[in-house]
Amino acid sequence: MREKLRARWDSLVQKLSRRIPRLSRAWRVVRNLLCIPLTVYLIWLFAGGNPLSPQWAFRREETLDMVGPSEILCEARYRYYYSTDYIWFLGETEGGYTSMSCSRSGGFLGGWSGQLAYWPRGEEVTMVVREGTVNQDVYEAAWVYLLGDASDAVRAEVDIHFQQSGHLNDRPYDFDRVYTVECTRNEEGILCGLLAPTDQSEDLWTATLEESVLADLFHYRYKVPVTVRLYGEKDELLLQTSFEYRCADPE
Amino acid sequence: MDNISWGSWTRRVSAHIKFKPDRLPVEEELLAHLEDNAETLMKGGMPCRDAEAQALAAMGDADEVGRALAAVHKPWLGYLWLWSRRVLILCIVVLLFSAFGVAGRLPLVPLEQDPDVAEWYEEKEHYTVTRISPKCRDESDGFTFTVPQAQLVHNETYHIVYESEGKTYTDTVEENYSIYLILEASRWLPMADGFSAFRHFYAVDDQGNRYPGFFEENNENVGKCLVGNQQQSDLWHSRYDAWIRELDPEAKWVELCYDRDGRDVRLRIDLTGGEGA
Repeated sequence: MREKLRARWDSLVQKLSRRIPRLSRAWRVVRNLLCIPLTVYLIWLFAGGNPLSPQWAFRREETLDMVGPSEILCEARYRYYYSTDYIWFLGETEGGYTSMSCSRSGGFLGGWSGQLAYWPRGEEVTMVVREGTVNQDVYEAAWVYLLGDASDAVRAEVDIHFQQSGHLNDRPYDFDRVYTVECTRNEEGILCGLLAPTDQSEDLWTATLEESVLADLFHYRYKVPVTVRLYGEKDELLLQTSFEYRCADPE
Repeated sequence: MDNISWGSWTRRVSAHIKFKPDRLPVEEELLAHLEDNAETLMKGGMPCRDAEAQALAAMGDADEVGRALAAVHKPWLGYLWLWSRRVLILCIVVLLFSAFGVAGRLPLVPLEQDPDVAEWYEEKEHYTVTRISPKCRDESDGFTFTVPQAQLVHNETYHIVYESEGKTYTDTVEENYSIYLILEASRWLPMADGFSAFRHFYAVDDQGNRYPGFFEENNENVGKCLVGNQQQSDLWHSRYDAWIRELDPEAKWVELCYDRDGRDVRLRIDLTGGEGA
């Protein structure tokens, strides 16, 4: 039975390959070695074509968003609660800054993806904000980056004014608070600081309100008044400027 | 000499070949040669046993033949061929599996078969549709931009009367001009996720109006704007089904623009002419 099947298989292979020109073993090796990378490329493409490294994903989003290419100024890693690891890039282009949080996509072959944000260069200072640990409802922290030509500045203070009124869970609120973020130079030499909720009360409603108001920082529909003060080595004020901050793109 | 001796002779020859998968085919081929030679001798009247012995003797010394064959059957080439074939077969199997997921993203359906806005409006009262054939084209960053379809839609002022809970209500739809269009980006490199910069296009017209793009400030609160939905067409084409709301009726042309980060893409659509649907 097995021999019969084998004979039939051989005859089928012979029949099918009769018209294919016979190649020497060396040429068959060459053919196979050329076909393998082509097939691997097609597999990658068919599997979604997700970039296989975070840098590649960042560069591809720049291409598809038609900004850049940028010079990478900063790269940060953070974790979304206990699951997804994110790699955040901050780049500088001719006309502004790009940022993107990349995470591994699921599915066949995986890969990295994310959504790029483009921040046009501000007149004196450009403020870029990165998420700390955030989900759709809960805001926990935000990293504030100050970019510009003020290389003399060793530290900065950023006043962010949140003012909002409305209803949360059927309770009215009138939120009006200024948060001051202390920024110092990080490893890459960029002024950056952490903005975190300050409410220490155990009242869940108050905590949720603060988190949801602060989360406006990440929504492109909202504008938040900001004042930036840059200080020199002797703690002298180098620059004070005010502007309205608006998130570059939806998340 | 009998067939068993042929077998031991061929095995001795093939033992010199280092690439083991080649040994059996070589043995089979040598046996076939021996059989052919013996048959020829037997046809000439030689007894079977003598013919077999002579055929074997004619093949020469087993070790000498084996060394000659070993020089031809290089082991590195043999193993390279074997493994490259195995890897290629594995790749093809994986490719076939992965191909199922992308059938919709291959250019199997011609792009011209996209739904036509005019067909939807021609059934409706109070609406007039004019098809335009924009010839505009621009390039940037390796992308080619075109507007394959555009339709100018005009509605006169009309009233909608409806009843609810015993009461009669009347809604007024004001006169409005809008343009529905398809903006296409194409390039020879695949765009797996589509061209995401579409949402940063905006429009201007010859009357000095600006129609802000999807993510521009307050575009939800103003009537005049360029909005749309990104449609991934295939790996090499990406489309944006867009419309400009509250188009100025005096406008002779409207221009789709992209100018972020030093770029300057402009696609001017001539609004004069065209044919009614």
